[in-house]
Amino acid sequence: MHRISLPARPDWQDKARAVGFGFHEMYGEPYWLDDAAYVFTLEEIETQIEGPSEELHAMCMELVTDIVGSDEKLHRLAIPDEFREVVRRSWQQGERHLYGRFDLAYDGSGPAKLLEYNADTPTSIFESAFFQNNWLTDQVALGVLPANADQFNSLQESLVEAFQQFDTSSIFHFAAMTDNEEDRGTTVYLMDCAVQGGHRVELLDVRDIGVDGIGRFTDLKDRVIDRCFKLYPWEFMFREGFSSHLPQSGSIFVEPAWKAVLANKGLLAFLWERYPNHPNLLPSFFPDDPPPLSNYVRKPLLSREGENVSVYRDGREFLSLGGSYGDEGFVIQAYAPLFHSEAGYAVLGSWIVGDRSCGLGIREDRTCITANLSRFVPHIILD
Amino acid sequence: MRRRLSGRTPPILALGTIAASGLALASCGDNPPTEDVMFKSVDQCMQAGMDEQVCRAGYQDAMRAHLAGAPRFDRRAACEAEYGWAQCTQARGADGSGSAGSFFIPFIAGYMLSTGFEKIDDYYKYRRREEEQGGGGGGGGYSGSPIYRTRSGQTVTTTPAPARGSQSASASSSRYSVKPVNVNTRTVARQGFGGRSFSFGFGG
Repeated sequence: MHRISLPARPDWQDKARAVGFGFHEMYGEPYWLDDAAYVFTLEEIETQIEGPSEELHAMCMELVTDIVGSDEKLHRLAIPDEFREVVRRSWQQGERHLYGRFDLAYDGSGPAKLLEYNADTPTSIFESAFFQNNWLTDQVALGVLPANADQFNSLQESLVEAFQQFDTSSIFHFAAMTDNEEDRGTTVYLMDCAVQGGHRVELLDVRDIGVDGIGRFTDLKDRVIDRCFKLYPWEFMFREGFSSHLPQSGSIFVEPAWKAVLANKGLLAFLWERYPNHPNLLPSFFPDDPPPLSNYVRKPLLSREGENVSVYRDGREFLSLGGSYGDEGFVIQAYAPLFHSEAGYAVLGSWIVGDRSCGLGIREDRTCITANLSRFVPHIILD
Repeated sequence: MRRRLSGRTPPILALGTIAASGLALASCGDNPPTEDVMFKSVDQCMQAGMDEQVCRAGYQDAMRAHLAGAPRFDRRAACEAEYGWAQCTQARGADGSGSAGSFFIPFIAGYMLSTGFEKIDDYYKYRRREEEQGGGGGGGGYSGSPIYRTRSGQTVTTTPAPARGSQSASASSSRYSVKPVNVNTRTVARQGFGGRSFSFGFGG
């Protein structure tokens, strides 16, 4: 693994605009980098990323059975008591899931280490699946990259295939906070994949989801929602007004309720407990079980974009991001060095679609906490 | 050249863009419009301003599909477990499908019609297209389909289609499968989700 600079495509901003990729710039900062790339060998991808991701996902799926069968474990994950049954049933009934993203620490030496599993509301799928792929095709056509340059990326075909597994008889609704451009773009991209998978689709704002007299969720045309992708976290849904309808109607959602277990950072402690010393895991603990660690990271069980994450070196707080998370508790994870260059720190996002490891997206940040000002950098495979 | 990981099918965008300006992305297909409405009776259909012939034709098709393909149960209790107490009736197989003898089926709750049908020709055209595409929602429509209401309130229909991928198929007669279908209802509340509306996204 190494990082290279290369000429940007001269017209890449037009191309971004043409496909509606407006959030290539966010908060006034560039988000998509067209003039840099991470380079891997095929063997590195296969043995260090693809294989381990496949294995981590299988381990996680096995662990879900344990966790949903234990009131104590669900309690540790701060799943509210009244929704344990919703989570449990969604798992027992095999409610279908769509996708998730492992964040991995990998710097080219030693095995990749799992930082967390974004299993409920992962973003950067459009950048990874579509725009990154176009970037590679263009750079090869321009002669900037050699013809044999490849990419770990069968994301879109996997997404279309995954959508084909869902029943197509009803409208597939897609709910997001539509005033957020990134969330909306991510959601519309997934709708596109659903259309290619044979679905009729409709976008609605999370706040516009309604409920009828007998507790069924409805859309703005007063139709019953039979299936709904949501880019909105389960932990919020458990704590909001319509949560009382989840026991009856919660099974319509994708990702399904059991994903709340995997998206929770308490998962990391359960993984370490069940698979101690696994090469792709970092020692992780609940804080009431104090770890013999001096370099570690403290993460809220529920947190996004690096909020409320603190890094400790030699037992002292070294770096910390503010935020509004942490009420539900924390997990402590051994510190893992990230790939580091003059451009900053890189975290590998390894995608699981259905149950298949099928793509990679890399984000860079100036600090070792990847936050909402991180940048997306494409990657290539070159042997 | 070994190209194992990308490039087999270059990704395309069916909708052309991920910048949805409006929220109206429904029914990217052509006609029929997807404003499917459930009517409980021909009278109710006509009172809603639909053409009488359309109302009758849709009802007759739905009844035909109901008699041939309603979900079947050996015991009343099994039927009621699915469709609710006192929601099932005894029926007798006479359709030569090999399932002779008596069994239990749920009452029909209503039937679907698209509000896009202005006259009977529209409906017939739609039926022809559906049949060409396999029927039973094969063309994306449910007009003329019977609707049942399950005990949990979900509305389902029964279609003479293979049960591929149908996760809710239950004990229906063998040639039919039970599928959920979006029906109209009356929304009594909104804004029950999405309370945490700070400007950042929720993706991770």
